[in-house]
Amino acid sequence: MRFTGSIVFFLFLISLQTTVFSCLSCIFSPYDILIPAVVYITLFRPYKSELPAIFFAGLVMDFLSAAPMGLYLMTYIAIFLVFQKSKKYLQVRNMRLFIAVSVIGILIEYLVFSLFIWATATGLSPSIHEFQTIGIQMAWAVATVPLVYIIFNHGFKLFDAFIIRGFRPVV
Amino acid sequence: MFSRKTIAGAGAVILIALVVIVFSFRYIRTSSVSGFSERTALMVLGPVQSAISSSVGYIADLWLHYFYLVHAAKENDALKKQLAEAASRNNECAEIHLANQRLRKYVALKDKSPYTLLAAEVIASDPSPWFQSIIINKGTGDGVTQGCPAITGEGIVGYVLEASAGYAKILLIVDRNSAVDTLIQKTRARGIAKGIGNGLCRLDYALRQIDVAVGDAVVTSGFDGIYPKGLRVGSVSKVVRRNSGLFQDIELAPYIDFKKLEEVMIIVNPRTHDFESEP
Repeated sequence: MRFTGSIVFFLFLISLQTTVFSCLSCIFSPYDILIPAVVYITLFRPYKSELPAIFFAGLVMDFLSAAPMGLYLMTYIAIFLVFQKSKKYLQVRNMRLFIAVSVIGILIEYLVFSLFIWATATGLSPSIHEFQTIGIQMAWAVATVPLVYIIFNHGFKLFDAFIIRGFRPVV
Repeated sequence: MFSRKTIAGAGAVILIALVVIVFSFRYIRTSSVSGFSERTALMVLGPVQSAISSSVGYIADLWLHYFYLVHAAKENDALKKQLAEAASRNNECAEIHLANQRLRKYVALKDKSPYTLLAAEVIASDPSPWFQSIIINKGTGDGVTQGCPAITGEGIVGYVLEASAGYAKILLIVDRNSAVDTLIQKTRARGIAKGIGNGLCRLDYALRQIDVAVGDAVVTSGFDGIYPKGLRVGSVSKVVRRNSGLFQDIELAPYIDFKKLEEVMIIVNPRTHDFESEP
């Protein structure tokens, strides 16, 4: 049931990312909202039930994007593995830690993507535009990830309570 | 009827009476007795009158500005609702007007174009800013197949990368993985327009000896087997001719603002150009 919930959660975020956030790209470069989600799940959720959901989210993003097949999947799995390994050092459920890790996650995504772009597109060198984009994305992440953290926290708490109660509404 | 004597007598009496009345009136108004009474009355009644009139005024004011305000508040609510509805309708009209303007261009394009065009709405964009693609609400069920070019009245948009029954993904010409075989319209020199990711393209393999200037129009050559010949791609925005090397560096600004793209036309029967028939 947790898996289904996570799938619905990721599908909702993907819909937001491809419609609302991508429309905002004319104002600023929005970061990938799935990165904080993957980070949150990696750090604060039981990974055995959530890893398939991350796998699913990566695949759906690959299907929707013009990126080479498997790029998003690889990025999310890489973020998952990096932070899963360091989870024992990052035990504290802390907002600052979450912001820092999310920003690092965005940076990891940028590095993976850049590696692919430069490896596949011949003669293209990193432009100032790309550095601007990643800078804006990280600044937005620092500004908005606390809100994202609060929403995820409450959302997952409600969801867990809902599962524990056996899908009975609150009386 | 009356004698002149009688009329003169009556006139004199009336005149005397008037004089007496006028004089007696003046006397009363200025006499000390009447002045005292008047002042006393004013002094006593003034505050009462003032209190009464201010009370009446207060009540009237209360009635008009408080009880009446209940109606005013209700009226205000109703008017606010009407205003909101009117604003919403106004916005709807403005949107319809803009959509109408855009669609008129598409209808004109459809009428002029020798291809079978299918209008589609852009429903989503690429989730990543590093890749440039859009998703449209037409798919194989509508005749859209992989490789179909997408255009607007301004120029080419891209081509269909993947298509499902009801939706299709279009790779935009500004994506790094996109390449379009093009011609510089004025000189007919060939080049490959490749996306560089920031809303611009780069024109590769344009020979150094070719005369290219900023503002030159670039059109599709038809050699890539995807885009029909002669479709507008963009205009040259920057030319760098180095002292060495075979080619010159040319930057191309597409005619389309991809961030504001809302509708596209899909060429569902992209006929390949018959180059043999050309003189």
